Amino acid sequence: MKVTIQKYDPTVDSEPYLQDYDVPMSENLTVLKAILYIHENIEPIAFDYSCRGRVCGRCAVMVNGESCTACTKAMKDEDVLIEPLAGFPIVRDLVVDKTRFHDRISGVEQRVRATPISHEEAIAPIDYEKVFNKVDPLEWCARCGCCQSMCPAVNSLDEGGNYVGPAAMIGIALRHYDPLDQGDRIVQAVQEGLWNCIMCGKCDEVCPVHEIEHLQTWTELRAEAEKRSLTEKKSKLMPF
Amino acid sequence: MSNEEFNSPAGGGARVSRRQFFKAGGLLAGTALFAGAGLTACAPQGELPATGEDAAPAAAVAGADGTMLTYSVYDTDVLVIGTGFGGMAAAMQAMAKGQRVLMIDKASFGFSGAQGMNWDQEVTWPDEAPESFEFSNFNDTLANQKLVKNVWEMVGNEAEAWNAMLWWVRMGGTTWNRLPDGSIENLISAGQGVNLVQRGFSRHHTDLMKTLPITVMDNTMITDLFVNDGQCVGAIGYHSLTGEYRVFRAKATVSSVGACCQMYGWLDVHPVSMNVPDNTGDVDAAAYRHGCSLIGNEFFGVDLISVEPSSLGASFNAGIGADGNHMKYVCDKDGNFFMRETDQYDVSRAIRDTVLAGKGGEHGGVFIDLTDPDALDRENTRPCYARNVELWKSEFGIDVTEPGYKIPVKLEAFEHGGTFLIDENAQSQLPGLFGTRGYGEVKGHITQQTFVGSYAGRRAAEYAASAAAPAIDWSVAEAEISRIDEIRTRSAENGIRPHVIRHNLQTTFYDAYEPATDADKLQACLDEIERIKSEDLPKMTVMDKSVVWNREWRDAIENYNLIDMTEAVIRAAMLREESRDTFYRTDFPEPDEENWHASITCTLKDGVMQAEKFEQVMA
Repeated sequence: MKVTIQKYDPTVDSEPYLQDYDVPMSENLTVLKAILYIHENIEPIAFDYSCRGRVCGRCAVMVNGESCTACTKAMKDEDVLIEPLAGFPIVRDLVVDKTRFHDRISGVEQRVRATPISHEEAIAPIDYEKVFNKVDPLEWCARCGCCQSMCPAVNSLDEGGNYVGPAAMIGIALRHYDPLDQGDRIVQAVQEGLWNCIMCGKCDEVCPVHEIEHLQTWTELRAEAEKRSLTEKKSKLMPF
Repeated sequence: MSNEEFNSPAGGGARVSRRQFFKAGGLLAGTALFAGAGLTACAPQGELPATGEDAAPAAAVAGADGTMLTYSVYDTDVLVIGTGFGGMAAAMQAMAKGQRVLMIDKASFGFSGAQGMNWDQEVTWPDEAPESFEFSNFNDTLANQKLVKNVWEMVGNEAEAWNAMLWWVRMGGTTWNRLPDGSIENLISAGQGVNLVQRGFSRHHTDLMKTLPITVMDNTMITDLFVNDGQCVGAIGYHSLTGEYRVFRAKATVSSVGACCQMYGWLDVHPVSMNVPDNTGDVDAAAYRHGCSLIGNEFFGVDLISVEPSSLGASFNAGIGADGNHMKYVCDKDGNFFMRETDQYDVSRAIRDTVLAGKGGEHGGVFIDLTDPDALDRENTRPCYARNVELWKSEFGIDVTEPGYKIPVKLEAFEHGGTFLIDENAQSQLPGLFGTRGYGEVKGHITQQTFVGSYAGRRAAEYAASAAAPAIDWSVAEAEISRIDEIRTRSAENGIRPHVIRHNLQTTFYDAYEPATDADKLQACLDEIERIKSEDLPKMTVMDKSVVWNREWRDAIENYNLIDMTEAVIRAAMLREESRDTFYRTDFPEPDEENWHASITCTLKDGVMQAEKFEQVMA
């Protein structure tokens, strides 16, 4: 089938362009394998991958306008357009720079804790349903950026900067449920734009970690925020 | 200009780069220097910002294609190459000792190497501090006992210091795996004095590292150690996002670049290894080229992983496999669950013998059968694998629980012992170079990396504190930069692209080593390695001439390292006339404690790799 890839080498190209390639279909073909086929058999592509298992997030790309991790995305026998992950600066071809995005998540996901953690506390039994089953799926977040690239709130120029984005919000939620965290994560969530999310569910749709239920998580955080009358959308910083 | 004038059709052709455009403008005369391509605004040397403390001015060296190559210089006390568990531990200790620390990461920090997969890792720790160093969990049957003792002394006799689980939690980890009653799940039954938990996620570690006063420079590949007068004075490499060459000057260097498993075959997108493409043993091979011995080469850590769908490339994280504690549903081609009668510490041997006896599948391995209703229970299949059942169904339409379905699995290499030799001070044979592996351990593991890495960092810090800033001969660095650049710009008649050489090496090696090896297979592999070195590598050329994110260029540079690492496996295996741990020779199928209770080193002597027995260092 025809695979079209957005190419762009800043050392030679004045702007990105589309290039078509002919890729043979095979059983259980993935987007990653198709890209590698082109790279090895037709011409070099700049792309990234590592874990082949949607935990490192490095292979995230747009396929026909929807973000995914190339390593676990099955290819159908039909023409396809592969572009770099939307909303991130392009390094070359399908490689984008996620440094700022990653550093932001690292920042919000630091555990807030004023007292040392003892062995006893670390292994103390926890509520399986209310704590473990909440923490477990969220911790698998690969920080691939698939959610971020499709989020209308993040990518809207009007709302720009008012929503930290789904991946970081998942990190905040993780620490909210983390039994060892002492931070007020509901305040943090609201500050980072919990109410600026439009609840479209796109993050849920494209996230390669199927266990994470984004809308459910936002709903739970909002319920807690509402109990405390913390219901303000984050407003724009500039008054004019 | 339109893109068409800049871009040639597939196959190379003339590409006019922006650098050459400026060069044609006559600005290049040896005085005005341009940084690597990717910058659209070039400035004469004096306007380039100073880089790092005590930086030498960016200097230049001529590339083979006539372009002037510049490099930036970074200066530090302790240079840590690699940001995994060993590197992080080393960096933290060196920082605590008051040294300036610069960490180098080949890819994006937090997303590189095995550590950069945010996944379900297992951690082990003892209830009490080991009474004697021999019982340290980083000890091994062939390990340097002096080093083990030194590390044991450093960790001390408080139980908490040995508690890797707690360390992980304090680094940001959360709950570990829990049983339905909410208690922590210990994979080792109670009363054994040791614990094993799963569901650690390493991303927390790198998050925490970002809060420490340690500089991390990522997307920087180290291509060589910087050696002056027989001393390691730093490292040389390039920034993969821009092609900028970088020279690092340090009083002490710690290498913790992770186990190289990239020679272990090829499966559509990756070797038969759950490890990752970043780890090609770059610094180990560099150390070898500078005269350091490589040790532990013949040993790999192996376990079972699915090889279909092959496009998942033996992925631990999207695959379905079985580790030592979860062998109940492993079966042969006839559906016999043969691992139920096997001692769990003899896992790889039982699997290999089954394949050698013709009871494996056409894929060359065995199977996992998850059609039993209990098969996906926590005790039988690790949650990190069980979660992929749904993925396979939704993405590929494969239902592994369907009666009759057997998942083809093979032994994959998750760890490799091969690295440069270190002594009881974690120092290599090259003064100033320290390592977090290479003391005769058969293969590394996470907890070992934390303890031994900490020790290496501490020793490196002491060395740096007592050492004067080394004198630098920049021409050495410039020669390396020329070497790397030439690999990119080289043209050759009947040039061979790096992936072709790579896959040939991978499949040749895998066929020689799995499911078991013997003298004939090893010799055939060695012959091919020699041929690749003499015939193919000199003709290795890349289609991609860009300096920005050039996979091919990287693959080509790595090929020189990978072939040395692979040759070391073969030569060590040829010498070891016995079977031991996961190392299995059908012509010498039993351990020979009398003759082979020893490690094997591979050292460059007169241009040839020599394998020699290396007696265990006792305390």
